[in-house]
Amino acid sequence: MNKMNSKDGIQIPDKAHQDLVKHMLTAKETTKDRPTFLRSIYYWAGSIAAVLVLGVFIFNGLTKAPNHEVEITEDLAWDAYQSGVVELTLEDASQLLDNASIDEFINDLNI
Amino acid sequence: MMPETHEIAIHEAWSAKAYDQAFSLLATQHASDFYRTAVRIVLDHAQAQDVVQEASIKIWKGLPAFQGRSKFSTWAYRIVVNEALASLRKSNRQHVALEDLQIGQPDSPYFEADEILKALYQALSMLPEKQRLTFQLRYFDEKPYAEISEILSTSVGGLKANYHHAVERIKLEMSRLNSEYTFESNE
Repeated sequence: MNKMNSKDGIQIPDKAHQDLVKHMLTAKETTKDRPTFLRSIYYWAGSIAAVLVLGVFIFNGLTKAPNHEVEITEDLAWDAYQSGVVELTLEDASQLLDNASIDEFINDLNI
Repeated sequence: MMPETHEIAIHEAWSAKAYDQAFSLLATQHASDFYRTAVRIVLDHAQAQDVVQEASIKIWKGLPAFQGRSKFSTWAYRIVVNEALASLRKSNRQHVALEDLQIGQPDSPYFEADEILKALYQALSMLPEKQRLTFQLRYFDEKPYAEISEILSTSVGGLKANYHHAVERIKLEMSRLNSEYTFESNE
């Protein structure tokens, strides 16, 4: 497989491509840990917990309860895990959770 | 194997929880693309290899969390781009001196460019980050806007605006570098 691309001037010959494939596989092997659903739950739980704490702080500081919720998706949790940062405006955060959602997520975190 | 066939094979392996196989297929198909994407952002061969390594670990660990809402490669590209940007910010390489003759060009053994392409990279280095990334994925990689939208978490409309502004700025910067240089985006 010769990954030629004249548009960006980066021409990667077969040998180099194979080296890059090995590089990726070696990186995977060095992690030792195998991906498991439980591990991923921990990542999500950690991320969700961080968002939850932020949401609760801001939620408690507001006088008006939000009329609708913003769903915490797994993608959002994954973004948080990946970057370590969730970018939320005060308005977004204030819409983050209601009491039922808080209970639900606390229950989920205790699984 | 065609790219879409490869994507299906990766998805089938992932569905069967054969994560080793899914990862190997992804690496075999996209290792060069990931490196290419990384080195265009960080502009350094060794740093790009580190980015691919770190991204590989995150992809591997994140396989069970993959939602299947996008293509595997799109999801993995997103991780590579984010890792490259994080690496770039750590190293502060975005503040390249203007007098640097190699401004904006990848420092890679696989990079070969004529004067016009070098000028294009120099013009690219003048762009804001989002415009630069949008341009690279659209013009260099010819990715559809819908896929770029998932990689950069930006609306298609926003990407089209970014691309338009990028092209206009590139035309301007290239003509400043050499009045004989022109740029056409074919869009």
